[in-house]
Amino acid sequence: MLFNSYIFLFLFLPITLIGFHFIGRYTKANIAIAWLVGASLFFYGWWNPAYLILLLFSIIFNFSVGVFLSRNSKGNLAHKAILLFGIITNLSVLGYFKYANFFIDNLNSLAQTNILLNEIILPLGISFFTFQQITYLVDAYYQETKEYSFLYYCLFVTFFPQLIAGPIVHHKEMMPQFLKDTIYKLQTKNIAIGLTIFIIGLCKKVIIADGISVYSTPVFNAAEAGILLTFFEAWTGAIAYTFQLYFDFSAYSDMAIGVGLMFGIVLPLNFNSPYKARNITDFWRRWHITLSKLIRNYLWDPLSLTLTRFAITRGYGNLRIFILTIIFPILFSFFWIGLWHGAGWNFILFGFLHGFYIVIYHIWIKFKLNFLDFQLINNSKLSKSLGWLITFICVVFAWILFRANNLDSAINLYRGMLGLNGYVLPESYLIILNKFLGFGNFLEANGFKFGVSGFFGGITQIGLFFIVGFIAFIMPNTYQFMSNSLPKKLSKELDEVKINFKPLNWRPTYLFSLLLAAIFAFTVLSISKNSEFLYFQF
Amino acid sequence: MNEKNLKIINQIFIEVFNDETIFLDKTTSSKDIDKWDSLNNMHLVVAIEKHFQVRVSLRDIQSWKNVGDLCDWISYKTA
Repeated sequence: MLFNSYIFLFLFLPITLIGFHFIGRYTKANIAIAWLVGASLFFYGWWNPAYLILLLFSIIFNFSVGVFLSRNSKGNLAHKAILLFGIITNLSVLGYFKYANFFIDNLNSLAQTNILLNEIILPLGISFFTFQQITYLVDAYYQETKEYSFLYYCLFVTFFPQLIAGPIVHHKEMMPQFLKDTIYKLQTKNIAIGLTIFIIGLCKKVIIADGISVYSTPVFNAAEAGILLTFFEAWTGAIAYTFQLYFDFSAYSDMAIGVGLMFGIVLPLNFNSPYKARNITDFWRRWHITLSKLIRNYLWDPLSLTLTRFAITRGYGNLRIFILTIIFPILFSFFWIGLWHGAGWNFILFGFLHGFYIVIYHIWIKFKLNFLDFQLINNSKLSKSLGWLITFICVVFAWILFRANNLDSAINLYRGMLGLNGYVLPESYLIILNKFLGFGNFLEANGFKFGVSGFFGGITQIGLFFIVGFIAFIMPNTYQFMSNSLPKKLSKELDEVKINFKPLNWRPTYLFSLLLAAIFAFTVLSISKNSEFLYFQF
Repeated sequence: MNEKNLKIINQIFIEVFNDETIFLDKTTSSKDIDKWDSLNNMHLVVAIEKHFQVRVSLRDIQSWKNVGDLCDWISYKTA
């Protein structure tokens, strides 16, 4: 079921919410939890009931392994073996459903074999619930999980706002919340805040993300079909996708957090204005925060600690230390981040490209420290803006690999972006540009062409970029607008933004509710088709 | 004891980040020092391990929120 469908908005959500608070008020907490688990399973089964079996198997398996691990003292060999078995089983299931086709295809082309495998349909959210449960197992191994009832564990995995596309939650932040009495008592403040965040998310998805996809999808389809794209077509298509992806995925996260709050549950922040980042590590601290944190805590940190210890005890020189403790683990972690997103060489290259960016950033910081330590580069406004611009361009460039369905179409787009297919502006622009000191003729004399530029939306598209760019680059984000009313868990991770114009700070007033009702009505009426969220495919 | 540790840790920070201007107090966290992020965090950790002759676990590292936590942990370990 989609958050942006009528059945969710007008049937599933109200019924589940009213049922939960009604049961919670008049009966026991356990029954309310069971209601919510049931509703979540229904929500998941709506797409394909067959995959409910997989989800349930995964929950039962991981719960059993987790209980075993947390009951037995850590450290002995059997204990380690069970953890390993648990992790490998999870990864194998994920591997089969997500990567088997990719693996077989590559094997066939490498070894010239002809193994056939039926196309396996990817179960929704499998990457999310698998990783979530692996972290649970690791923590159970270190005796950091308390033992919870099976019902609570089910809710931890299936809680429908976060089941399909995150935020990836950690048992430590979820379980204690289920045990609080307060969530079972209806709190109007939570409903008001949750609904506001939800409506803003819905609007981001339906109006902005779906609206801007008109400019990105045709460009990527053309690239796949082998049509040569010119400079402006390729860049504007790529930038359109950059905005589409952000508004789509952050919309989903907003809606998840909003729905969570209506049930009294605080889900973690997943986006913090990523396109405001001034360097590439900053970008990864703001984009899909819960995935970055998971990779950092469960992959990067252990790897980096082990390798650093190794390199230092061996007494390696600076260069070898740098390669072993920085470059290698960065590329390794980003390889997994890439692969996590999908089975394809484009995703692996996407990971490596970002890993490469981060290595370059790191070298730059070291170099700057040693050789260029003067004011101009350090803190001036110019360097900050320049850092932001370079970061944004790098991010746009990498999303091509993320979006293109195969390497050929990515290369096709890159050729366009590098100007190898020429610079073509719409024919009508020649006359307009010539009105400015004959600028059109000047351009024509310098390699530009005026003719058919079918995938470039011209001034309308550029105007649209300015609007969404203003929202993504300059405006405070949803959570900053609401920072006075948010639960502390959410607001503590935000950058502090002083909104000087006080009336803009969200408060539960008639004015804001009217405004939101209007946005909601407008958005709901604009839902034209069932457009899936982009992150559902991961 | 803690004050002394703080001074030693400050010196380790200066060496690892190659920056004489770093001045730590107990509330300093990675947000306050640009060069300190998760990429080079372990260089710091291993330098501390080496100096104080202790072994740090990942759980310890992830529980430190600021330099004060780190100092407390070292005092506890070396006491």
